[in-house]
Amino acid sequence: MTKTLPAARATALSRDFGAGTSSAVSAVRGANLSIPTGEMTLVMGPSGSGKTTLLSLMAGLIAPSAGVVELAGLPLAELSRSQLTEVRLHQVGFIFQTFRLIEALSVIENVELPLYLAGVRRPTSERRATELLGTLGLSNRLHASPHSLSAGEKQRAAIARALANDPPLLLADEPTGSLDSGAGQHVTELLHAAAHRQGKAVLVVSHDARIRSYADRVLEMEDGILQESP
Amino acid sequence: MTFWRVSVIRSIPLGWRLLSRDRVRFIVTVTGVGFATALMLFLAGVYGGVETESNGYVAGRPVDAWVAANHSTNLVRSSSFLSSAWIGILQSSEQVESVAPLLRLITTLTVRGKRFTAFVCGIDPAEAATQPTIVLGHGGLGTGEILIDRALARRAGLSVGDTLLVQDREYRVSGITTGTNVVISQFTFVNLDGAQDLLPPSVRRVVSFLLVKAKPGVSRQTLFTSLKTEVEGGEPALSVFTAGEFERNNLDEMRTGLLPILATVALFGGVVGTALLTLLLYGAILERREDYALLKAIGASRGILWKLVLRQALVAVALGFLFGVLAYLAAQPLAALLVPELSFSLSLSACAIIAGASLAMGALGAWLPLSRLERIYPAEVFRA
Repeated sequence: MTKTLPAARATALSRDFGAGTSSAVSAVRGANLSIPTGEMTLVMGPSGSGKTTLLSLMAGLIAPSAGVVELAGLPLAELSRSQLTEVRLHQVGFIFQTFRLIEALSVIENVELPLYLAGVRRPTSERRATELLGTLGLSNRLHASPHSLSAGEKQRAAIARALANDPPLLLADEPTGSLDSGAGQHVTELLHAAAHRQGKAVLVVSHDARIRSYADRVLEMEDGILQESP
Repeated sequence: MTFWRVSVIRSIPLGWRLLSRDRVRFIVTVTGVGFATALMLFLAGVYGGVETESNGYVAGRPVDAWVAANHSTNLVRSSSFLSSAWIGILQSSEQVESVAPLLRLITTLTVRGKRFTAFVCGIDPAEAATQPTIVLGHGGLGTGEILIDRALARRAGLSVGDTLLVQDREYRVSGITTGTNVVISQFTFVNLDGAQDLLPPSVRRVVSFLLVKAKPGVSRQTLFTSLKTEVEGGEPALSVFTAGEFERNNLDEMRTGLLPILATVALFGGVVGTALLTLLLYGAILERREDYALLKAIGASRGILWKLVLRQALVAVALGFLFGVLAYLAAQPLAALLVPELSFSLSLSACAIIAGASLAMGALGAWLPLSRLERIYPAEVFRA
């Protein structure tokens, strides 16, 4: 069996904040990470260990102080700002602890948003969003306002939005952090399914130990250092 | 409803939703921009009114040339005195059909103890060349009769048959005129002898302007050349203007006196409107900065984000313009009632210029918010 190219890869990745000052912090130190397609990779670690910075680096939202990040084989450092934006639009789906649904839009419009940004017009975008929300059990909340949803429903809507453009890579930042155990388990199962049934490369950063049993690979991060979990 | 959503809204109305999230602020801003626009429309209306109304009398004269004292270029803001003898001299010219004298004075009228400053013009009532347009009464102008401008009549509460004092002489209003309001003052008309009687005895045989009509078959240019040769070398020297030239001079006088003031006030209106718009858009971006960070993170291009903000500016400006037009239409009759000297004339081209100014207001109003938007980092989306 030939080994496929990982959806994302980081090599010797570091990120310092406030370099040259007395409050300088090395949030990520020499991290090596490969996120294969069809797998769910979990990075665990306490608050302040550098997990979110790692996620921002992997998405190209911030530039590394050293090292290389590649998405779909493309070294992010070589891309222009607009190319980077384009890569994020088509290659990456984001899931956040606080969902980040836009309150001014309905649930379906939130899911349509990445499609709209990609130039997909209605009614095609509506069809796609309706289908995704149906798959995630939100058919009856299409035109609801996000603030009327439960936390679990919000996170499912956010997952639908992350999947809208069918990106090969999903990046999830504490996806169960704002959910009760039942909803948290449901969301974890959805992420697991995205990896195993849809072939997505899923990178989850969390300190929720309940996710560990669903992950294909677990890494630990502490003080900016990433290592395989024992 | 579904038909509307699917068929008409072809893309997500994100800009509108983000803008109208804080309804009170949005309404206050649109109202503010609307009032700024209404102010600009109002001033343009006043300016248009001044152009048409204040020049109405000069523009409506059926003559070919105006003769005035040297260095007197217009009827509104210059003094001109020349000997009445010139009437006969010009009348004898081969090219001249008729010469109508006009003596223009600025003096005080008293109506029921209240004083008004006005132009008092002495004219020959038999000469159509100097007869103003009468909307009420008659223009016979017998001894002791006066024609007054419509705005002055409203301001002073005068009608045909009422009496007033010109200096200390009593006159009876015999008619109301139009096209004789120059905003800062209004024209009244008495017969030439009556006007000359208002002057000191030593200078009574004077007039201010002579309105000259060419004989049939004589071109304006021929008349003009002939008059120039005849009068401009005289003592004291006189000036000759074609009818069009004199009309332009009057218009320029009004423009130079009024336009800078109106333009300055309009500019202040535009600045206030722009400031309000900036506050609205800037506030909307700051309040929704997490949404904008999200948009940046998930792949919104700079072009899309700029369009989003510019669309918001456009929506606010378009609604403000609409509000401004309605406010103007509502306020204009009220203003004309409260201030009779004001007359309004708003042309389509003036409306188009103000619409353009509103667009510029939108673009300027979006400038600071756009620069703020540039400084929102997509990684902010990860902040809890």
